[in-house]
Amino acid sequence: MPQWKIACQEQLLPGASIEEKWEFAQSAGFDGIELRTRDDEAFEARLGVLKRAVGRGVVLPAVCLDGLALGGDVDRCADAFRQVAAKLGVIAALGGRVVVAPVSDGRLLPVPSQRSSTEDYQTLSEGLHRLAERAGREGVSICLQPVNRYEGHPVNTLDQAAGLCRAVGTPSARVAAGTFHMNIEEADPAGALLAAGPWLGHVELADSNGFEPGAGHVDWWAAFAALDAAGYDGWAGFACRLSGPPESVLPASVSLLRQAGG
Amino acid sequence: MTIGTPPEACAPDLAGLRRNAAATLLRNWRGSATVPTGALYPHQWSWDSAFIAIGLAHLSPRRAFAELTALHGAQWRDGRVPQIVFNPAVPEDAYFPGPPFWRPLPRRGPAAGVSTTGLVQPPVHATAVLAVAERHPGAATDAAVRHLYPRLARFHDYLFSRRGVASGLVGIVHPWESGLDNSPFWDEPLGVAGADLADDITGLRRDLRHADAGHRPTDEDYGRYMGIVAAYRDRGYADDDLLGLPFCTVDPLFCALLAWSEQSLAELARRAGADPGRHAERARELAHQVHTRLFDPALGCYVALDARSGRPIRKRTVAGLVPLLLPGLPAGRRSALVATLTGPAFGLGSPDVRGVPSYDLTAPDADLRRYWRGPTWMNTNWLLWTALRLQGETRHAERLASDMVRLVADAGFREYFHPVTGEGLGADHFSWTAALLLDVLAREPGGQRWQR
Repeated sequence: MPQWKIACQEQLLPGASIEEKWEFAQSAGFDGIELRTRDDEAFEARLGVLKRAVGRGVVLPAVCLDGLALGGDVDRCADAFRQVAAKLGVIAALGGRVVVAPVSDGRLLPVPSQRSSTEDYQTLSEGLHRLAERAGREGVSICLQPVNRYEGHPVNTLDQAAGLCRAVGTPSARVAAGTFHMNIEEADPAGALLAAGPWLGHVELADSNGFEPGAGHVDWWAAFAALDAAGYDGWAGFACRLSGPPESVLPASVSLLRQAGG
Repeated sequence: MTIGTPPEACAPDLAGLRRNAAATLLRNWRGSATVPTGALYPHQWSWDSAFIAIGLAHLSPRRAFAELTALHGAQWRDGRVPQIVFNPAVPEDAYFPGPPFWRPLPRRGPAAGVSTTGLVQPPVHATAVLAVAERHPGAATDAAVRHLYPRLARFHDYLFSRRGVASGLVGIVHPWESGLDNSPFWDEPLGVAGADLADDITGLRRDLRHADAGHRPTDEDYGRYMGIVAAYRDRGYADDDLLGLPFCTVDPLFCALLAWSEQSLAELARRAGADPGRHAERARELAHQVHTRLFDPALGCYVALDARSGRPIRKRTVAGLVPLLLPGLPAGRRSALVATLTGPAFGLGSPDVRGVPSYDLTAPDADLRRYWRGPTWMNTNWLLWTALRLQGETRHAERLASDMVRLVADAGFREYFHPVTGEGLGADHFSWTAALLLDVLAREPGGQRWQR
C-alpha cells in the first residue's frame, strides 16, 4: 500500500504565519497544507504572501472553498460559481492543482432538505460544466464534495457527485470525498470510495463526529484499502475540528492514519 | 523437475493484483460479512469467512473481526457454527437448497430470526482469529478476542463432544461438511446413501445458472446430497446416533484443521485469560489420532474413514496432505508427504502442473475441470503453503506461492483452476481466492523473485 500524501487545513495548524504552520505540519507528519477560504476577497489578497511561502518550500496542494452556496437556490448557486471562477487563477499561480467545492446550501438546514432537486441539479450541472472547462485551462481540477442532507442538497453521495462529473464529461470535474459526510450518507463507505475511484480528485478527512481522524469510529483501514484498490493517487486533507490541542492531537492522528495504511 | 522457480519468466503485476484482490473483497462485502461471490453464493459461508478474514486482516482488522463475529452470531445453542448463514434480504429461491429446505430448525438452533443450514464446515476459524490478532495487537483486538474466544471454544466443544466417532476422531455427517463436496473420498459412502430427489434436482439447482455444469457436482451427486440432508434434518439435526445416519465419515482435512485450530484456541485462551491447557491437550490428542490412524504408507498420504463400515477410503486427495500442518509428525512422515506432494499424483514443482490439484492426477477418475475432483483451489493451496512453511520446506513453499500468484495473474480471481492449463473455472470474483492471495503477497517477501 502506498504512503498517502496527507495535508492539513491551515486553520488547524498552530503558527502565526504560513511558514510557521508549515514547520509544525512537517513535524506532525503532514506532507502539505490545504488552504481554506471562506471570504470572497481575502484569498486573492493573500496571493503575494502565499507565493513567497511556496518559494520557500511550503507545499500547498489544494484549496477548500468553504461557505459557498453551490447547493443553494439558482441565484446563490450562480454567485457561488462566479466566486469559484475568480479564484482559479490564484490557485493555479500557487501551484495548487485541486479546488475542493462542498455542495452546501451555505447554511445549516433544520431538517433534511425537502426541496425538489431537479432544477438545482440542472443549475449545478451547467455551472460545473463552465467552471470545469475554465479550471482545465488553468491546469486545476474542481472537486465537488457531497455533503450530508442537513447541510446541503442535491448531492449527498459520492455516486451522485460522480454522476454529475460523468454528465459534465470534462476530466477537470472530479469528486472530493468527505469522510464525515460519508459516514452519514453512505451505506458502505469503503464500497462507495472504490466505486467513485475513477472520479476521485481529493479526499477530506474527518472522523464520524467531525473531529480529527481517530477521534470517532470511521474504519480508516477500510477507507485507505478502498482508496488503494481504486488506484487513487491524490491527496487527502484534514478538514475537521480538533478534539484537543493541535500540538498533541494532530501528530497522534497522523500516526494513527499511517498505521491504518494511510 | 524444477523446484523453486516459476514456469514462466514474465513477471505478474503484484501491485495490480493486490489492488484487484482488495477490490474483490470490498465489493463482496454485504455490511456485516462477505459473500463468497455475488451470484452463485449470495449468503455467508462458514469456512469461507475464516479464509476471508485472513485476507481482510490485510485491509481492515475491524472488518476481519466483524466477519467472524457475524458468523458466530448465528451459532446454534448447541455450539455448532453453521455452514451457511442465510441473508434474509436475498430471495429464498436464489440459492438451492435455500432456507425452506432446512426448516424446521430445532430449539437448540440459532437465535430467533436467524436462518441457517444445520451442517458445519471445517473449523479453521480459531486460526483465522489468531492470525488477525497477531497482525494487529492492541486494545480493540483484545476485546474482539475476548468476545470470540468463548464462541470458538463452544464450537470446538460441540465437535469434540457431539461428533466424536471411531474412538478419538471427529466425524462429519455430510460431504458438504468436508468443504470438498464432491471429493472422490465420498463416492463410496455416497453410493450407499440413496438419492431421494435425483429426478427433480435439475430444476431445483441454482448453481447451474451461474457456472458450467461440467465444472460442478453432477445431478446424481446433488440428489444424494439432498437425501442425506433430509435424513439429518428429519431427526432434528440430532447427533445421538451418528452411525445411524446415511453418511458418517472421518475426513483427514476436517480433523487436521480441528487439531490445528484447537492449538490456536489454546493461544486465544491465554489472551482471553482462560485456561489454555485443555485446548493444548485436545489438540495434541487429536493430532496423535490423525497421525497414527489415518496415514496410509502405501499411498504416502492420509486417507478418510467410512465410520459406518470402519473401512479406510484409500484415495489420494488434497485433504490427505493437509495434516502436514500438524506438529508431532512421526519420523519420516514429513518426507513421505513431501514426496507425495512433489510426485506424479500432485506434481508440485513440475512445469506441467499449476499449484496442487485437489485429486490424484494419475487416478483414472480424475476430472480436471470438475470442482473437487482435480482442479486447483486457493484455500487448500494456502493450507499446504502454510504447512510447508511450518515444516521448514521453504523452497517448496516458495514454489507453491509462485504458482498461486501466477494462477490468479493469468486467470483472475476464480473459484478454482485447471491444474494443468491454469484455466479459470467456476465462479469469478471469488472472495477466498482474493483474500488468500493478499496473505501470500504480504507474507512472501519474494516479490522480487517473481519480478525476475
